[in-house]
Amino acid sequence: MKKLKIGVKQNLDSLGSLIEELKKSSNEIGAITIFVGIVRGTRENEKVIRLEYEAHEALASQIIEKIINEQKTKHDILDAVVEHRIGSVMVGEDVMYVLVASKQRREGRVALSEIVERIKFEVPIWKKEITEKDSYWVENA
Amino acid sequence: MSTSWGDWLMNKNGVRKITVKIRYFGKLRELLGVKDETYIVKKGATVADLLLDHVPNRHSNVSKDWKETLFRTLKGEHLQEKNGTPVLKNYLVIVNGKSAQLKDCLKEGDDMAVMPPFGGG
Repeated sequence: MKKLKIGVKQNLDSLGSLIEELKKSSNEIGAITIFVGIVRGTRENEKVIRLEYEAHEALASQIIEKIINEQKTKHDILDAVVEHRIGSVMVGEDVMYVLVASKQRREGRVALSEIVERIKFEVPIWKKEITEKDSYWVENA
Repeated sequence: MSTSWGDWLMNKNGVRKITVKIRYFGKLRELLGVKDETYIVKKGATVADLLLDHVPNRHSNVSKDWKETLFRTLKGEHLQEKNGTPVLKNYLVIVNGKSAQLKDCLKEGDDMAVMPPFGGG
């Protein structure tokens, strides 16, 4: 692990720049596995307009760092990047990037899946879904 | 004796007071209409004292919703542990970045956050 990049921010960096940055961090990287979270346009039968995210930013960054460090030990990944937006995010826009760099693809895939799941349940981020009819605080379950 | 924020305070009866900050997120921030606020409370006050008394007393217009949102109830009554402590729903209380229990005593300058279940991703 050369550098940990974590962000809970208004706008995400470009996926291309994050990939390039990761590639430069080590010449041992053989795979970069990526998750892109996107705002879905429907909630059951309702049309979604946007999502509004807020976070305890300092604590969120600390917990994401802890999750990544634990995954490094558990799955021997080389590096990882997590960026999550806060504020208003429209349907179709990217809301979260998780990139995992590893020597082989298998450990990257497993670590990526675990990081995404843990972010949903362990990181202090909240979202409100604004639909055509109403608005709802969404709790991950 | 100084009475600025962060200093020890003492009221007319000589009872020591402490200042604590509370931050709210998600539906709780929306319910109370504030992101954070400061309380001056008696030394020895617990997390439960803040959540069950001080906050609902200050926000009396939404005190019922506050308690119903945060604590488990049965037929309108708050459920309690054997020791009398009320039972939080799946909300998290953080003090100075670390998980806290309702019975924990607060200290001068504590930074407390009350967090609904998470919804990131």
